[in-house]
Amino acid sequence: MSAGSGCVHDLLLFGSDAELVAAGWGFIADGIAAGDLVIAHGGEHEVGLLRDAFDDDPRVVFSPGKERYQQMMGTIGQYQRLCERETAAGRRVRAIGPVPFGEDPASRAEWMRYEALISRALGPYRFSGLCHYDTRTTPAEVMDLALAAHQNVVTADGVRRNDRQRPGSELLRALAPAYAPDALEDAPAVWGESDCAAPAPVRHGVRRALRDARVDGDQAEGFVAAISEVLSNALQHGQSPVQVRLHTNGRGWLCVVTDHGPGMADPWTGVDSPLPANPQPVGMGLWLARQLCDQLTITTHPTGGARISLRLSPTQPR
Amino acid sequence: MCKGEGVKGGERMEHLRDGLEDVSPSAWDGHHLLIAGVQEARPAMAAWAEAGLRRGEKMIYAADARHPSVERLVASLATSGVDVAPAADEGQLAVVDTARFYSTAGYEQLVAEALGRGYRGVRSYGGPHAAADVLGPAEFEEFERMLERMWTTRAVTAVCCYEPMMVAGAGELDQAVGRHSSGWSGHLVHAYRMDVGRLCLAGEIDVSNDDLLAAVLAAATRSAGAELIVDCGELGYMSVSGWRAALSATRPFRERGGRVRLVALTTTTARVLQMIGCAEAFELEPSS
Repeated sequence: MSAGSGCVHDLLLFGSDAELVAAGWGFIADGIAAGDLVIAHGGEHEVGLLRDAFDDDPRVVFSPGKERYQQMMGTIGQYQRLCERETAAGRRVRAIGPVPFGEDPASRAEWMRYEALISRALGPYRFSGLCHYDTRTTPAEVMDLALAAHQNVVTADGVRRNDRQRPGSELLRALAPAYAPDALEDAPAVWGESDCAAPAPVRHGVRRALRDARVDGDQAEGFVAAISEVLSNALQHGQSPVQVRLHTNGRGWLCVVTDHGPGMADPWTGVDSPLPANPQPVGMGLWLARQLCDQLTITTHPTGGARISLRLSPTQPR
Repeated sequence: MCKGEGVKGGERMEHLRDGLEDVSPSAWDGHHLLIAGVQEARPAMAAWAEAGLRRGEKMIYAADARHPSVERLVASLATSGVDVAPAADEGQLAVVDTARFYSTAGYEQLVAEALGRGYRGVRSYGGPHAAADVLGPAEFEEFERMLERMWTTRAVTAVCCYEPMMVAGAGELDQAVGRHSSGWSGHLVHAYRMDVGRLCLAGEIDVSNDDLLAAVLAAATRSAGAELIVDCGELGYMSVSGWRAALSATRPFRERGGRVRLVALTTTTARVLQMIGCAEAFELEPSS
């Protein structure tokens, strides 16, 4: 593992508590020695093991719980901001923990994309991620992805180069969402505009629909802001007519924005950091939108035309 | 065609109508710039007229193509749901020909007469479009300066309605904003100065009006001391482009050591500001 510049994304494989601690030890110890910002996240048990092994060292942020891992692009955005801040302080960010794939196929696919995106999204930063996978419980398809997405394999026996790693761009191509209507689109749109000229009427229409359905105000406003940014982008770069549709099944919400241009060349637009430390200048609107909704998907219609869909799964008000 | 096309005028100015009920009446006091097409300006003007009548003020309109006479003004306001016919009968509401309205002596006389009749205040409505018939650009500029004095010395409120195309040229928006010290409204947004160094922002900012926000903030920082306070409690939406505009418009001020304090941002607005990494440029305060 390099202590110099750049992003390092490695894989830790373990089959017991003892192996997790033995394999993770060096990563954390190196970070402490280098004065990095070290974060150990994940389940109570795993974080507890590492915390005990380091005697609750105050130089390590032990962070149990799923707080940092609610939504994949939210997690990436958080790391980008954290890296941005630490870069200014001259520090590397180091994170060790699991990826919350879950049982649900959609959630699993999304976190697989997360693994494939890390090298790209955090590429401009001094970031080291060590993702740990329990060999006893990880499903085969997830393990295949894990092996394809990481540079080195770390075990209790040491570090070795991962010879099954695939080029990031190839992996992302394979994981790009296919153009397909969402089940929520089976129901007719509850609101829509077939030829948008400006984002404001769309904000007002969507806001009203969410308010009528008693969606929590802050969640609704985040969704409205995400849609507004996507739409501004489509109006600026896409080709008219730009259409917006809002669908719901009473629980989840889906907003689909389409245009009639050639489509977007890169379905991962909005993943790269628009913050100052990234020397590549990229837009901020889609990047923000990706973090303000539960899932944002960019696809291209077989006959042309970009399609951006945004999902909101409101949680019940507490 | 957009589904909302038919109601766009109403929708665009929706917050202005609400704004008068929600925020203090001072939001429309003073020498105020309104950037809007004739149709768009309607709901705002209706709300403005209602507020003036309610407060017992004399309302003076410069005659223009839309309301060349008081009868036409009454009819126009009626389409916005405001009945000003009784007030017009009593003379509280008047349409004045442009030659009289747009001369310093004529205007001052109108104000003196109204106050002499016991009205609690005077508010007038005009703009460069109507003035163009009787004043050249330099004379209009001078007239605007006189309105500015009338506000500061005699508390006369004047709303000047500029068509968007009149401020589309380079620097024109900054000039128009600079001529009016009290407040500035446009498509979706209503901003007004509560005090020296204290600005109130209401409505929504996006790509369609972030240039107005930039002009307003630049003007506000020029007249502020060490600190500019921006009350954002009524700011319902701010796009990334809006934050970028706010950053660059306040940059010279901040680089001189000035502080920009944002008060009462909504949860989502504050969250977006933090997410895009611009929160450090400002001082944030939950509410005043």
